[in-house]
Amino acid sequence: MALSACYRVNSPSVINDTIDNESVIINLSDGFYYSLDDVGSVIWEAVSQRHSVDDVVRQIKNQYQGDAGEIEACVHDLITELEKEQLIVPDNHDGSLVVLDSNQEPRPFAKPVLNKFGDMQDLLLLDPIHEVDEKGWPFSGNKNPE
Amino acid sequence: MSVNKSFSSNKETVTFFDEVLEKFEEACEKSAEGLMERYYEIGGYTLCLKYCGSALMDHVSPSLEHGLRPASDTPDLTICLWDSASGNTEMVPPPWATKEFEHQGEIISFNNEHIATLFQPGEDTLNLLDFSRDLGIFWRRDAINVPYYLTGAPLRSILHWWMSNNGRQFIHGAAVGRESGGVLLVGKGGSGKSTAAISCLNSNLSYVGDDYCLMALDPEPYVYSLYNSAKLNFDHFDRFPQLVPYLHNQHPSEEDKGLVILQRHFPEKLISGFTIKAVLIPRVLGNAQSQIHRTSAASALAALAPSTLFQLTRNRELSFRRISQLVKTVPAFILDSGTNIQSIPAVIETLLESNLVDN
Repeated sequence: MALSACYRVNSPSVINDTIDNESVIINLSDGFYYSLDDVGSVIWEAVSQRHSVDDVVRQIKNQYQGDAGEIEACVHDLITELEKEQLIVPDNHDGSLVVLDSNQEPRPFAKPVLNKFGDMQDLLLLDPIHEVDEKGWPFSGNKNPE
Repeated sequence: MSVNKSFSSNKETVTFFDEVLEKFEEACEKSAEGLMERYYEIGGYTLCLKYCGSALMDHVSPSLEHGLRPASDTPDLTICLWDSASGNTEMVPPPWATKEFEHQGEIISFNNEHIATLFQPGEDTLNLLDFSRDLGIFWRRDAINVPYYLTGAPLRSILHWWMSNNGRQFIHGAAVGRESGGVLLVGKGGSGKSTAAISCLNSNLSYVGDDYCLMALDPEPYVYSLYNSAKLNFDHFDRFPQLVPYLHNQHPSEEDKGLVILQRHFPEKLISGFTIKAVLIPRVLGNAQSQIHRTSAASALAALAPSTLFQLTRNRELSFRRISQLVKTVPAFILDSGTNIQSIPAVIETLLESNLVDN
């Protein structure tokens, strides 16, 4: 992963919001949804604002106390995971966005975890077509789509 | 005929809509009972349902009948409902290829800014809405073997499409409270929304809905009753034996839920809506007594948004923004539902009287 690489949220498939340092991310295409808190949420916000990977690392180092190497590795790992989950995609932004310095005291760093939930997939994977009548209208035979 | 994933012209979608509308009118002429109009107030709007005879009305009307109103010359939304069997009228063939039915029944090529089209899986119903005419069409092959979930929550898609464009958000959630305010109970199916809502029938709290409601954000978060049905799982039959004699579907299979039409048996427990004071996320830990704990707005967003969005087609991003706005406005709590059922409404009442919510 290049340090100058930038990403953006994979919209319109992906919708998200961050409230009080917790992010909820939904992929409308595949039915998975995700949550991130604390460090992960800060990384998500920075990435979604198209900061370069290098800028994100510097921002996390600025806001959190921890081993510099571990912070860098964790940021890289999370961004890689976000891209693998197709929540973000590479963006050709020139990387000139400036990282804002935090006025808050640095907090202890904890490895960010991307929580993934698949309990809505059944709703998307309903197969409505089991057979159609001579006119072409389906008999679905599906169970309750709740 | 359009090709897969392409968008039909507005002319094609309107032509199909009008062909189906002509079939509805033909069916009304052929039907022995003819056209039967009923008016309802839903979400502050007047809904006119034009039934072709009583066959579908018997299945669609019960969960809406708490909103029955006198006839109006100026309904906000009109929906024509018919089935081919009782109307003695064949449906026109679908003007799209079979492969165009999406997993949730949406026909992408026949959805545009003017017309929404969906064949609802499981229900086997065609749902059409013409936004410019505020006119919907609901068709089924016949009125036989109508599933309980159609009767319990009829016209979901058409109502969601239209209400979404008119400031009302479809919500997958239950709502109980008082005229002065109440709570929204949210979470995926099986999380305990219905249990909590039904438990309030034997309390001082009133009932707005147990599964789907309408929400408005302006001027303040408000929930409107949509359906007066209560859905009972098989385990509810033991926990709420007093409701079993009132089952609308007298012999539900083990895969089905029992339906109680509350307007017919507990009309005094129903209210049309209230200001939302809090969002509650039920969970079952097995403790005897219920408890409530504060949780984050993001937890409420994660509990409510996916289970609402993935049951709907169209306007998902708008729905997400509205739900996000709601959880930023009112506090969220975890409701640990106790095995002592009556402790559920008790802790909700205590919450509503406390300074944890905006009074």
